[in-house]
Amino acid sequence: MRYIPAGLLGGSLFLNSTPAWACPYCRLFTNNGVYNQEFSANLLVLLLPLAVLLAIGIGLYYSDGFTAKRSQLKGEKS
Amino acid sequence: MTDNPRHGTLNSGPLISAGMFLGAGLGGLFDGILFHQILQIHNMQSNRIPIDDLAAAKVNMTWDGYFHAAVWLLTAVGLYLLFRAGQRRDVPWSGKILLGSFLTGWGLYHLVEGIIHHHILGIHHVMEYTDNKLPYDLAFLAAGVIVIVIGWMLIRAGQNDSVHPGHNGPVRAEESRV
Repeated sequence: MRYIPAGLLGGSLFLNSTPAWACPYCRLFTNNGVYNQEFSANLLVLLLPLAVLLAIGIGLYYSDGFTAKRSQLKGEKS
Repeated sequence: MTDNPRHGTLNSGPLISAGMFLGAGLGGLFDGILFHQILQIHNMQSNRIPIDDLAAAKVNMTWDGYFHAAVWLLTAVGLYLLFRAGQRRDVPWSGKILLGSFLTGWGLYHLVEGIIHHHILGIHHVMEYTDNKLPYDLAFLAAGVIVIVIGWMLIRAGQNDSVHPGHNGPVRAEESRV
């Protein structure tokens, strides 16, 4: 008995819903817009700032500018 | 360079590098989540391919995905470097240095990405849906500078930290026997 309202409600959703359509040309346009002759150049341009950040990070890793003798630190007994 | 944390040289470079990668990577992901996805602005090719229909939005979304994948890799590199730094006895384990370098990396992401993408190459701007895009681009750069200054101050404040919790105990025990 308690399933009847749920069934009616569920059925009404099917009756009243409008059909959904996927964008018929979007996928084709997207593929053509991304994977074309300019893909490599666009990817290079896109990743250029990250390459710069990578270079800065590697430079910091090997930098001698952040070294300190233990005895030079405040509160440390040499 | 000696590896003795009690008598040798301390090198905070590896910790700063790890924090910088983490800041740049997570800053890039934050940018992607807040600006690209939630606010639907600052998309990667939006000046070259204006988002005026669904298909153009999907093209931009794809390029956003490549960019987010790359900043995810930066984050992974930062995590790896942090793990390696934690194993080294000559690297001070300083929260100030880690937080400072994290903020510096986040700010550097704003500066480098903003200067190259917005101002030199012009492939996109922070806000495309306005006639005057410059104030938004400059605000993006200014936010980066402010965060870098705060981060740099924290790094400087942490330069006196010399604690390495994973190694200080055993070293002290050795010294007490001597």
